[in-house]
Amino acid sequence: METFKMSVRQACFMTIGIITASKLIFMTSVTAEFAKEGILFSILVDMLINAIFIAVTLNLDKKFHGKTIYCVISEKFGKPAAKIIFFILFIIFFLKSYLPIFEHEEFIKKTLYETAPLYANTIPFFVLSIYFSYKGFKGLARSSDILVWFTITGCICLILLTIPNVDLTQFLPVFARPEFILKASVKTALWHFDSIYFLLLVGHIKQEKKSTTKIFLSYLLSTLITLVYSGVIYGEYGILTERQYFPPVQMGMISVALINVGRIDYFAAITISFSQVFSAALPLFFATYCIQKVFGFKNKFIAPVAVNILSLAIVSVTSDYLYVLYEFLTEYAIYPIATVSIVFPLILSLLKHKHAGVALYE
Amino acid sequence: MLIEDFQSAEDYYISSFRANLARGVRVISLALAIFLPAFFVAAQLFHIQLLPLNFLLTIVNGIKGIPLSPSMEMFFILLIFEILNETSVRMPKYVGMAIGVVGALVLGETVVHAGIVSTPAVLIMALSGICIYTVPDIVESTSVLRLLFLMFAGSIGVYGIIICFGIILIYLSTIENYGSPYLAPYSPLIKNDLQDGIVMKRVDEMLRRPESIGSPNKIRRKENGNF
Repeated sequence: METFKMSVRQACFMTIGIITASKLIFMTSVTAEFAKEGILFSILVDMLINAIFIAVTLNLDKKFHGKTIYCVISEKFGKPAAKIIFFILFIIFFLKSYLPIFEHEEFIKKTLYETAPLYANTIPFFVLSIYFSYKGFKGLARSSDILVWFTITGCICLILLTIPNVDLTQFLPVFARPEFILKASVKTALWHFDSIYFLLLVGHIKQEKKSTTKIFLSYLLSTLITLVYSGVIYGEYGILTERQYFPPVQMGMISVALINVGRIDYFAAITISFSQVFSAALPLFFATYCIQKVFGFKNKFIAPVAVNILSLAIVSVTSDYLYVLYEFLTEYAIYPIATVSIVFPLILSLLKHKHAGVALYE
Repeated sequence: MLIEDFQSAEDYYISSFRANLARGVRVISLALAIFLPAFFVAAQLFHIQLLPLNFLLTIVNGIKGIPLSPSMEMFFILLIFEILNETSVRMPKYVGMAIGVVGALVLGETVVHAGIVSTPAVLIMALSGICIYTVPDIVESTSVLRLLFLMFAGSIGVYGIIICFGIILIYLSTIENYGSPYLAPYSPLIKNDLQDGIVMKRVDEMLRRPESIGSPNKIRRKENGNF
C-alpha cells in the first residue's frame, strides 16, 4: 500500500515543471498552423477550460477527505467496478502517452543527432520511464522539486534570447478569424486535458490550507509560461511558425549572443529536454498506477515493465505513421480522453460521500 | 545528506560571502568532474554543432592521427588516471617523486607526443581529476559516476547523459539516510534548511536548527543572541 502523500508545493512544482514541459515542442507549430495570428487565444481557450476542470477535480480531494478515487469507487460501487474503471483509465493514459513520447523522440533525434537509429534513442527513455513508474508517487513528488527549476531556467533563457527579435505586429489583426481559433483549440486539445493527472492525484496530496487555490494558481502560472513562450515564437517567425517543429533549438538561432559565443541555446534546449523526458513519462506513470490497481501485482516491477514494453512496441511499429495516428487521436481518441478529463470529475463531484473515516481500499 | 559533503567547518568561521563562493566552486567542480569528460566525448561523436568554431578547430587539429575513437581515448586516459591514483595511495613515500615524474612526464606528455591520445582529452581528464577532489567525501562515488556517464555519452551521446542523470536524480531523491532525505533541502524543498544549503546565510542569522535532521530542539539561538 502506497502511504506517501505529496505536499501541495510538490503538486504545484509538478504542474509548473513537468506538465508545462509537455507543451513546449510541437504544440506551438500545430496551433499556429490552424489559428495563425490567433495562436495565443487558442492556447488560452484550451488552458482555461482545463483550469476549470482541474479546480473541479481538486475539490474532490476535500470532498472525499483524502481518499483516493479507487477507494471511493470501491466503497460506492464495489471492487470489480473500480477495476473496470481503472482499466479504462489505463487505456486513456496509454492513448494520451503516445503523442508526448513521439514528440520527445523526434525532438531528440532531429535536433541533437545527424544520424541515429530509432532504438538507440527510444530504449533509454523507456528504461527511465520504468524506473520512474516503479518509484511511485515519492519519485514523482521529489523529482518535481528539482525539475521545476530546469523548466523555468530553460524557458527563461530561450525567451530572453528570442525577445529582441519579437515583432508584435505579427499578431495583427486580432480576432480576424475567430473560427480558426476554435478549430485550433480542438486540434490541439490533445496537448491539454491535464485534469486527468489530478484525478489520480486525489488522495495522494496532503490536505493543507488552500491547497486547491495553490495548485490552481500554479496551473495558471503554467498557462502564462506557455502563452509567453508560444507568443515569442510567433512574434519571431510569424506565419512561418507552423514550420518550426522544434522551437527550443530554432527560437534563439538568430540571436546576436549566439553568433558571438556559439550555440549556447542548446544548453537551454537540453534543460528543457530533461524536463520533457519526465513529462513524456508522466502518462505512462499513471497508466502503470492504473494497471497496478487493476491486477494488484505483488512484484512492483511487473506493471512498469509490462506497460513500458507495450508502449515501446507500439512506438517502434508506428514510428513512420505519426500523421495518421495524430489524425486518429484527434478525431476519435479525443472523445474518451475528454470524457475522462471533463465528464468523469463532474460525475464524481455529484457522488454523495458522508464517511470521513479510514479508507477501506487502497 | 548530499549537501553536507559540500559544507566545510571553516565556512562558519569566514565571511559568508567567501563561504558561498567556496561552496559554489565545489558544486561547479563536482559538475565538471562528472559531466565534462562525458560532454566532450558526446560532442565529438554526435553533436559537433555544440562546439564553438574556434574550439572545434583546435580539437580537430589535436585529434589528427589519433588511432583511438574519442570514447576509447577518454577511457584510456581515465584508466591511466585511476592507476596513478591507486598507485599514489598504495606506494611507499620514498618513491612518490618517481611516480609523479612517471605519471606527469611519461604518461602525460609522452603519450600525447606518441599520438596515442590528444592534448584536449588529457586536458579534460586532468581538469576532471582535479575537480573530483574538491569534494573529497564522495570521491569514490564521483569516479564511478564519471565512468557511467562516459559510457552513456560514448554510446548514445547527450541524450544518454540526460537519461542517466534522470535515473540518478530519481534514485537520489527517493533515498533517505536515517530518515533524512538525501537531497534535502532541495528535494523535498525545506525552506528553513536552505539557510545552510549551497548558498548559506550568515551564522548569526541561522536561528533554527535544520528540520531535515529531526532534532527535538528546533531553536539554535534566539534573536538577541541568547541560546
